[in-house]
Amino acid sequence: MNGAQRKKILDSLVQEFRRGSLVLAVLSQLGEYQYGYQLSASMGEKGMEADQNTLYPLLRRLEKQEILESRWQLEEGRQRRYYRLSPEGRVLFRELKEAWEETARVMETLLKEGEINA
Amino acid sequence: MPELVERYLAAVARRIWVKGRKDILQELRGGLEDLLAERFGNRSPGEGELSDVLREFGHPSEVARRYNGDPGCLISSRVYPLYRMVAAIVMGAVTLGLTVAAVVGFVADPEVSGAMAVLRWLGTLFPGLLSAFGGVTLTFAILDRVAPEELEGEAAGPWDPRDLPAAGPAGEAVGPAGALAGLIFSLAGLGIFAFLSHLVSLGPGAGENLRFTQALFGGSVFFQLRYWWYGVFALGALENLLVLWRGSGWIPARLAGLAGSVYTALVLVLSLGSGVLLDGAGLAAALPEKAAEMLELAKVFRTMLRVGLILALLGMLYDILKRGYRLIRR
Repeated sequence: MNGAQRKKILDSLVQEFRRGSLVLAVLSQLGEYQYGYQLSASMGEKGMEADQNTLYPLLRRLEKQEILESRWQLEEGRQRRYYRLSPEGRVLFRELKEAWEETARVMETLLKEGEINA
Repeated sequence: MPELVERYLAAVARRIWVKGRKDILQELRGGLEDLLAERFGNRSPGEGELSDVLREFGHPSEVARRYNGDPGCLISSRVYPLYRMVAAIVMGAVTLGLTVAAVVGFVADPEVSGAMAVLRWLGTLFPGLLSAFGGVTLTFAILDRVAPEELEGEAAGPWDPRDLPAAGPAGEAVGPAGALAGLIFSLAGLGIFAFLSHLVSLGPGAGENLRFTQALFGGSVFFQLRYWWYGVFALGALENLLVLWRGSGWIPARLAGLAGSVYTALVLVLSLGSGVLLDGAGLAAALPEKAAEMLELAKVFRTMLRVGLILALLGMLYDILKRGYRLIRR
C-alpha cells in the first residue's frame, strides 16, 4: 500500500466513524433553537464538518422520529426552519450521551491495550 | 434568487418524492441564500461562481436521494429519473400500438361491433400496460443492483449546474417523462386523425364497420375542420419538444404552450359554431338497413360532442388565463 492509498483509506475510515457520531454531535447543539445553516457553521468552527446537504435531511429525519421539534421563522426576509430537542429528544440525548461515554471508556481501554501490544 | 439557483432547486424538486417537498425546498432555498450571503455579501456572484457553489452543494440527484432515502425501494432514487422516462416511453408506445391495432382490427373485421371493439381494446390495453410496466420495473430493479454505475449517469462524474433545464413556476414544472408522454400522445393524435381521414377518403367501404367509421368520422365536425385539428396536435407536439429540450420554464416553451391553448380554444369555438357537429343523414345513408337506429345514435353523439366541446373550451379558457398570468408574473 503506497502513501496515497493509505491516505485515501484513512480518510474514508475517519469519515465513517465521524458519520456515526454526527447524530450525537447534532443533538448536543440543539438544546436551543437553531436553523440548519447556523448549525452547520457553528459545528464546522468546532471541528465537526457537516455538509448542508447531509445536515438538512438528517434534521428532517430526526424531526420525523420526534427527537427534534421545529418551527418556521421569518428573519431578514428569509423563512428559516429552526430546530431544537423535543422533550422526548432530551431524554434520548441523555441516554445516547451515556452510551457514547461508555463506548469511549471501552475504546480507551482497548486502545491502551493496543499500545502495549503494538 | 438567481435564476441558476431556481433551476437547481427545481431539479431537486423533480427528484424528491417524499412528503413535504414544499417545506424541503423552502429550507434548501433559505440555506442557499445564507451560503451565498456568506460567500459574496451584497455582491451579485457571476454564473461561474454560482455554479461552483451549487456543485459544492451536490448534484440534485444526490441531494434528493438523501431526503428520499432508500428504505428497501425497488428502484433507488439515483436511477429513478431514468426509470421514469423509460417507463413513460414504453407505456406510451404500448398504448399507441394497441390503439392503432384495435382501430385497424375494428375496421377490417365486419363481424365485430363498436362496443365489442372497445371492450377488446380495453381488454388488451390493461394487461399490455401492466406487462410493460412490470417488465421495465423488473429490468431496472435488476440493473440497479447489478450495475448501478451504468445507470447513475447524471449524478456520477463532473456536472455543470448551467446544463440543468429551466425552472417552471411553482407547481407547474413538467419533467422529461411528462413531456415525452405528451409528445407521444400528440403524435398519436395526429396519426389517428390522419389515419381516419385517409379511411374516409377511400370512398364507401364494403364492410359495415368500415362504412360506420367512415360515416361517423367523415360526417363529424372533426373531419370538416381536420386541418385545423392537425394544428392542435402539431402545436402540442411542438410545446412538448421544447419542454424536452430546455425544460418547462423556458420562455419559448411556455409561449408555445400558450399559443397552443389559444389556438385550441379557437378551433373549439369554430367546431361549436360550425352548425353540423355530426351528420346523422350521412350515418343513416351509410347503413340504410339500420337507418332509424343511426339517426338516434347521431342525436346522442351530437349531444355528447356538444357537451364535450363546451367543457373542453371552458378548460382551455382557464388554461389560457393560468398560463398568461404566470407568464406575466415571471
